[in-house]
Amino acid sequence: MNEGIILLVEDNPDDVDLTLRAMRKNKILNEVVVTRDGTEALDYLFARGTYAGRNVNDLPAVVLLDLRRPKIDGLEVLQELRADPRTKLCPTVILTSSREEQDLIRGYSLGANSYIRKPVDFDQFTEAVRQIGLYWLLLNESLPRKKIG
Amino acid sequence: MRTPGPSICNLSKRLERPTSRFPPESIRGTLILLLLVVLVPVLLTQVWIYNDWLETRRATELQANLELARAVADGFGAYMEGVLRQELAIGIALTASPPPPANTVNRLLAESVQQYPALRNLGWVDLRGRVIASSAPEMVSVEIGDRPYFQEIISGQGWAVSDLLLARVEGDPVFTISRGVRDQNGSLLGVVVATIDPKYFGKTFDVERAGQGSISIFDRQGRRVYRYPEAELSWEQRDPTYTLPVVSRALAGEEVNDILPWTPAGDRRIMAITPIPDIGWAASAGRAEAEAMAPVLQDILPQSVLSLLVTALAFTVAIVISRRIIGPVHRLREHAYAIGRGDFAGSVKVAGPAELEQLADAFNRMGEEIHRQQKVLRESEERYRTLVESVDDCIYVKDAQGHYLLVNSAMARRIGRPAQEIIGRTTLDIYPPEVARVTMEMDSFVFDKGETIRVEREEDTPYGHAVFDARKVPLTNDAGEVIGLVAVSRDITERKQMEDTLRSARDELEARVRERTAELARANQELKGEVAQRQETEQALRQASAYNRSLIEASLDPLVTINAEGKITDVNLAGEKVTGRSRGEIIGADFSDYFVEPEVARAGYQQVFRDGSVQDYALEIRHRDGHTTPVLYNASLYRDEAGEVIGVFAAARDISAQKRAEAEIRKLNDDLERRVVERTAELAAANKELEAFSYSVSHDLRAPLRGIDGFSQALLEDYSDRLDEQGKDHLRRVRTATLRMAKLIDDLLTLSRLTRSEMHRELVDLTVLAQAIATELQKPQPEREATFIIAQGVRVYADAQLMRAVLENLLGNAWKFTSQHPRATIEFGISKRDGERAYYVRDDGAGFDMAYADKLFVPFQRLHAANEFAGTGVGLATVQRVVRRHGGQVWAEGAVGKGATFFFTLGPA
Repeated sequence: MNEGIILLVEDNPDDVDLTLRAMRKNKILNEVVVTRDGTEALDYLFARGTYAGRNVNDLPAVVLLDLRRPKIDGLEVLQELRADPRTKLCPTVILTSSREEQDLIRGYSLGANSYIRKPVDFDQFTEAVRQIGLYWLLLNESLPRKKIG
Repeated sequence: MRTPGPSICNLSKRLERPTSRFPPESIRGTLILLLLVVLVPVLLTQVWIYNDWLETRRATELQANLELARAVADGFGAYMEGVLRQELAIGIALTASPPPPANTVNRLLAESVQQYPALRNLGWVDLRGRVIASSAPEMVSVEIGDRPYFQEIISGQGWAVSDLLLARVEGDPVFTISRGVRDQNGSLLGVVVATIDPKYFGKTFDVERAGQGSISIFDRQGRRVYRYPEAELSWEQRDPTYTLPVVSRALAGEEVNDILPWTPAGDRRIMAITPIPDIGWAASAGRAEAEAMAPVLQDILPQSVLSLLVTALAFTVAIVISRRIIGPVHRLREHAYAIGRGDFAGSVKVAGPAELEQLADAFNRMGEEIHRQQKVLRESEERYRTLVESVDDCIYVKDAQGHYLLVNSAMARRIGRPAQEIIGRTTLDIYPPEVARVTMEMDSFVFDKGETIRVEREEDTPYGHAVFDARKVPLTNDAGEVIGLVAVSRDITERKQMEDTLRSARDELEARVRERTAELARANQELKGEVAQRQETEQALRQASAYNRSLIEASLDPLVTINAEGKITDVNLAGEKVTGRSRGEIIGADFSDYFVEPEVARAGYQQVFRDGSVQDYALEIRHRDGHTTPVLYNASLYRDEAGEVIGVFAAARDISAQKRAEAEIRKLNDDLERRVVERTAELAAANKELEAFSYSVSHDLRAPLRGIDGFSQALLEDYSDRLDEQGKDHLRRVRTATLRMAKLIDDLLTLSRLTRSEMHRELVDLTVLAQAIATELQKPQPEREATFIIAQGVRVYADAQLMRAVLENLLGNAWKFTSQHPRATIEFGISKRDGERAYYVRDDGAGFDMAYADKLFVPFQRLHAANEFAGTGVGLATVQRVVRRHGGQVWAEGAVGKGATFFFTLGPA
């Protein structure tokens, strides 16, 4: 696996734990940054607030985005992410409970790279996480990181 | 002269050829029979003589054989006595006092052996059974104390002959003749034992006497001791079971002399068995019967062949001789046949026995006489025939069996066939059945009664329909019996026609008189009718006028007539009412005065003159009191009889009630529209709310479930060592329940989405859809033996998404409910239901009870236990929603264990 950071945008602590557990089970050892809501996620991505001082160009290998987050909704996060030239190419996977068609359409039209529905069955969930890891961290050829300065 | 043929005189039977019979009635047959009578006893006698020869020979052979057997028995007895005597002599010599020296003993024994062929050795045995001295040195010291014959002598017997036994030293079959040697006091001193080798008996007895036969000697056990012709016999082949059962009879003392079956092939053997006295043995002699009888048969054979040859020769000679008689007889017979056929040419010449030659002469004379008489007869017949042929009447003669014997040319013409073809046939052969029946009835009358009959009959002849005056006369023989009939009939067609013509001419005249009279009567009647009619018409006219007036008055519509000047000429009661004025006031007034808009009324009036009529012309009539009545006018021109326009006839319809109703409807419509708008807004709001709700459900209800499942799994994985099996089971159940709930939520959402989503009807190919779903279903379970029968080219105008949901559910159900059957057939097709196309999915799976048919489509209702067939119970509810949204219906038919069929319609597109 490459060394990229995984940004997990998820407010449900249960889902956070389960996602991390699923990663551990699949030997995904990359660093995982967990942000609890959309604002925090954007803060991390744009190195603001708590994350001031972080190198903005050090993009995560993949952003796992849950929709319907408090404060700023997941789709809004995506919208802002894609609007900013620094982050617009950041691989973003929508990982959500929703199966509503409108969410799918909006997610893709806002530029999501993937849309994955979280299965209730933990075994299937683990499998989904494994495949996300396999694809985005291993198979997918990411953009070369920009040099600082 | 005519050729000889059947004639009236020839009613008698023809000469028939005899058929062969038994006992033979032909001359040749009789001769052969005679010969047989002579020869058969001779042959039988010969057979009896030969048989006697055979019997005698057989008896002789039996006797000779018996004697041979006796001779063998005697010979054996003599041999045995000789040996015993020698043994006695040896015994005396050995027990002499003083005892002789050993070499003397041995020499004595050896010399004695030489005297008897077949004697192998002689031994001197002490009382303990040990051989002290022997002609054969190797026998010395051999112990024989256990042998039965030795025991017998020890126990006091003078001598003993053993049964066949195996020699102690040589090991081959021998027997012994032994003798006890005693002193004067009777005390036993020793035993002399002679060992006999039966192989060499041939030298002892006169076995050559047996010739080609055989002889045998059997011991007490029935074991074969010796056999001639000599052959090496093993111990087993000597066994008593190999000997014939009759041997045991001889051993018991009976003499047997008989012919016995020998081989399974049927060969027989002459056998004599005779007991050998004193020792209980038996001797037999035998030879093959065939061999013994061969000389006699050799004598008999040539003699019998000779007899048969003589017999055959006798037959041949007899047949040759018989020809001399039969030949002339045959010629006489053929000549008689020829005369019978009427062939008198030539006479018969016979050379043979004198009686036959005389017979032939007599025959020739008879033939000539017959010939002459026939000639006379034929001439007489010919005269009759010419007579019969010359008349125009139809004449024929039939015999008692109905065969035509004579038909004259008039009759032949009437039948339409030449006389030769008719003669010899019957009525049935000639006429069609219905005509024949009439003829035959007449014939039988004549035959039965013996009387003449005369009738007039009609018939279709080749020259047209004809009427005959027919007469039939019986023909009788000398005894007064009817043997036929003569029929004479005359064609009376022309006479009949003449009569008919006259009759019809008279009839016609009468008819014309009757017609003319009737015409006159009719004319008179018509005249009267016309007068009466005129009176009736006048009356009717008067009535019609009154009737029309009352019709007009009775009308509820105001009616008015207006003249060319626009003045009212007539008005009815309704017209008076609507204006509030009397008839008198109205008539003569200008019509437009009574309308709210007089100019519009006048325009309508002019339109009538222009177009001939107006329809539904709207006007308002003003009442005297001021109120108005809306009316629709229908008016047309009316003309006098000459076609001149007199004026306008106008009828008004009061439409105030209609106007009121219209106003009311308009008001109601407005109200309804407003309410629809309101309700639509309400529904839209509710829908919005529902959408938000289901979105929330989709999102927020699933998250906790995932938590429950995930952490249960985590517990199972991380704490399995601290959980007992029951705890783990509970956790697994938590997981199962969680997943089921998740499935329920998904199904519910699908159901609600199907209800909410917008419908886009388009052309959907259900065949392609069903095939795709079937493939998907089969993919995870390729091992199932399921057949999908999918109707081709099923296209509907419906929402593709929703149709997929319907087929997925129905086919998925069919797949699911057939899973417990080893073989399944699932069918998708179309049928007609009340003239509407009904699509169906049919399976032969678990089926359901029709009593619950209406529960099938209720959400979460399940007819099968969850452990039997998985599912949430939403599928069919979904199907129903979709079908209803399409304006169709869904229903199911089935029975428990008999499969189910789900039908749906899709309503008008």
